[in-house]
Amino acid sequence: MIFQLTRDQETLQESLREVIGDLCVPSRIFEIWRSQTRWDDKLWARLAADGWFGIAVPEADGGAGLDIPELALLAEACGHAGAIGPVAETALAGKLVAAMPPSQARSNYLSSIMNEGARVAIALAPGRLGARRAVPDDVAAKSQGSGIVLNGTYAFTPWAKFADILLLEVRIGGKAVLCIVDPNRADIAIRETEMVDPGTSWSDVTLENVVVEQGCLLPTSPADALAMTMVLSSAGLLGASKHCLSLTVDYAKVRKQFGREIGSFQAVQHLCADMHCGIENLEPSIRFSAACTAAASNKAPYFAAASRLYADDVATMVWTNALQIHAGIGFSWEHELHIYLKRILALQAQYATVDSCRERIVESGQAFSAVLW
Amino acid sequence: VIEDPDSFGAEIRTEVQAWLRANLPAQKLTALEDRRAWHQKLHSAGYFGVTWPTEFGGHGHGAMRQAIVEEELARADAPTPLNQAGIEVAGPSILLFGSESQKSERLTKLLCAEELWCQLYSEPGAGSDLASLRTLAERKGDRYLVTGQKLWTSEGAWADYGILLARTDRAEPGRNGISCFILNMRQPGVRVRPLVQITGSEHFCEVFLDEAEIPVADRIGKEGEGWAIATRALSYERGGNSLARIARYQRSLNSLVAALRKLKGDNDAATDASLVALQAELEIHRLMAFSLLSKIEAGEDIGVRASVHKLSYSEFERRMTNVAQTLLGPWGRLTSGRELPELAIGTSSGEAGTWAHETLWARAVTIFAGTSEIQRNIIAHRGLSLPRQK
Repeated sequence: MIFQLTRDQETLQESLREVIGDLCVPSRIFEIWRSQTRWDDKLWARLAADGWFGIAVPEADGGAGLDIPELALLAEACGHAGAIGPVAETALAGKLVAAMPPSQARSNYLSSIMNEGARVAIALAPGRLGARRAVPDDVAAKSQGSGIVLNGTYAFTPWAKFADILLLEVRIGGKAVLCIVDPNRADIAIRETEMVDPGTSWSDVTLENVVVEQGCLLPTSPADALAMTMVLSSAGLLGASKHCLSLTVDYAKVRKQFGREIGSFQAVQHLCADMHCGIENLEPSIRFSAACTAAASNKAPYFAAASRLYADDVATMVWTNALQIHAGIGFSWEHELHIYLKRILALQAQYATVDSCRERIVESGQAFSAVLW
Repeated sequence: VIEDPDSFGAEIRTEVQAWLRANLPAQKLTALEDRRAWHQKLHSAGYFGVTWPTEFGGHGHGAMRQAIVEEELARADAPTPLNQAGIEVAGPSILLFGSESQKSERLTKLLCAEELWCQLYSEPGAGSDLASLRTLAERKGDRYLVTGQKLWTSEGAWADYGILLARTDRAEPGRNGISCFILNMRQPGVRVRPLVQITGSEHFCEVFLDEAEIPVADRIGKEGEGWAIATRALSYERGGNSLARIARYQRSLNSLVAALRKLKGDNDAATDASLVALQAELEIHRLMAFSLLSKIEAGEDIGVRASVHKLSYSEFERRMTNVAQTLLGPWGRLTSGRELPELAIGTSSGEAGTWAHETLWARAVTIFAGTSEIQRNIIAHRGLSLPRQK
């Protein structure tokens, strides 16, 4: 069946709940929020030790040989728990790097992702999401001898400040390609941006005459990589939305006003029903787009963008209703609700926005067509 | 293993498409006998009663096949079959709770539209609160005499039989006093009056019952079992027309884009933010429908998901018509396709019409078969276990 999780996927989801859910309890997350580094060492070490960053690496390379549907479960678990760090990005990078032709660079990168706990930041579609500067948002790439010279800024790149590996979309001679770069070199400047989610980090990444070798190009097209990050961020939104709903329903069952549980008021019930309805509708579309993306179906970009656009809408409604029902307590910093609603706000603006999803849907040629299936 | 969405159900689709090329009527069918002939063609081709047992004239297939067949028919804008209330309400009630003679005498004739059915549930005083219905069926020897008024009865004007809920126990005001009957509509105690809707058409009727007679043998189940029968029967056909409904929305959306392109004279229409959002949401509903169907095929009880589905599609439809009105301006208010053929989209009920009719009709969709508010109540109580109002 297309939309249901397999037994194995259910087992995987169960272990994710144990690993991530157990570690990322609100008290620990608040502690990390308050810390100097705002980085979760314990979670990262545990995920690396358990081999989670190799789940989409082929078995021949020592990975679990899984694909986007399982990465989506990982992203969903992170969204649900408000986990800190580029978990889904790094596990996705395992898949993208493994697709490179055999080389020393490939082995080194794979080994650092799978064995050394390397952290990966991904910057796609430069300029589209960070249109606050006229120039040079778009990165200018030029061939130079056997290498490529990069210049420009990637605005709002998630987790760049913490990254050991950067995956960048660049355009060479009009063609978009993905390349892999070491962010810790002197000619790359990383400046963190202050943003709403203390559990997320965004930075502007500026490259000044950075020369990279041809061997650092990845075979996956940035368009396909974008579809993958769209699926993963949708899954994160699904996870965070589910958590907002369950907190809200639990609260509505115990909070009393006017002598009875507020959950017995129809006005409150209907807000909850709308949240449930949106989440129920969203889930099959994410499972399906994940499967399409893994199969490299030519409709994957369309389905990924459609799910992401819908996910954006559902998540906004969900956190708004959640806060409305929690009311005062939900508005206070000590309550855990804002961990997840702030994660929603962050995820909604990573890798895609409502605008870029719309563009992709229009570009796909699938919208408003007479024959869709 | 991932099934390619392009080839999903491909064999059934190819078969239905070929059949439609040979059989699709060139014109809209309006006369009852033309519609009945079309219905019977559909039935003998295996496209009506797809999931019903073969011993009662059905074809014994799964829900997925039925949904794909209906989706293809809707995509081709094929005329709808008759007996909607028959297949959705009366048939399942008889199948699940009827006597052997009720099954053998009624079901096959219902499927091939030899006998036409209507539903007699709602009353002027019993809408969302259906259990408060007051129509009374009084036992007199070997028959019941039924008196009361029913409302919102589709196809009531030509129905031969009605599936009726009436109170058999005057002392019991709630669900427990209700029984379910087969009512012969062709008798002096039954008077049917068409009800003109705000769209101007006569989709529904009022039915007045004045000592209408029902033989005891035409009661379905036991006395007092009516509520249970109605609830159970409603879930029998769930999901069957889900894809067809979405296909009709897609047709309307495609026509809207075509109309806007003509009116604005460029391609920008298709990039409008609210339209693209509708397209994305429709895709999500299509995938949700497939997900539901695969659960039904696997024999799972879809439970509260039926309410999620109903709430979602009806709210979508209403929103879609609002977007269309905003974008079309005066063109959205026209009641014929004379000025611009792309405006003649038909309503989601399959009636001829324009965006003006569909905009009005969409208001019925969030009311019938349980209003949006009732669906939200069901989701809150049964899906989320929120406490009931005391």
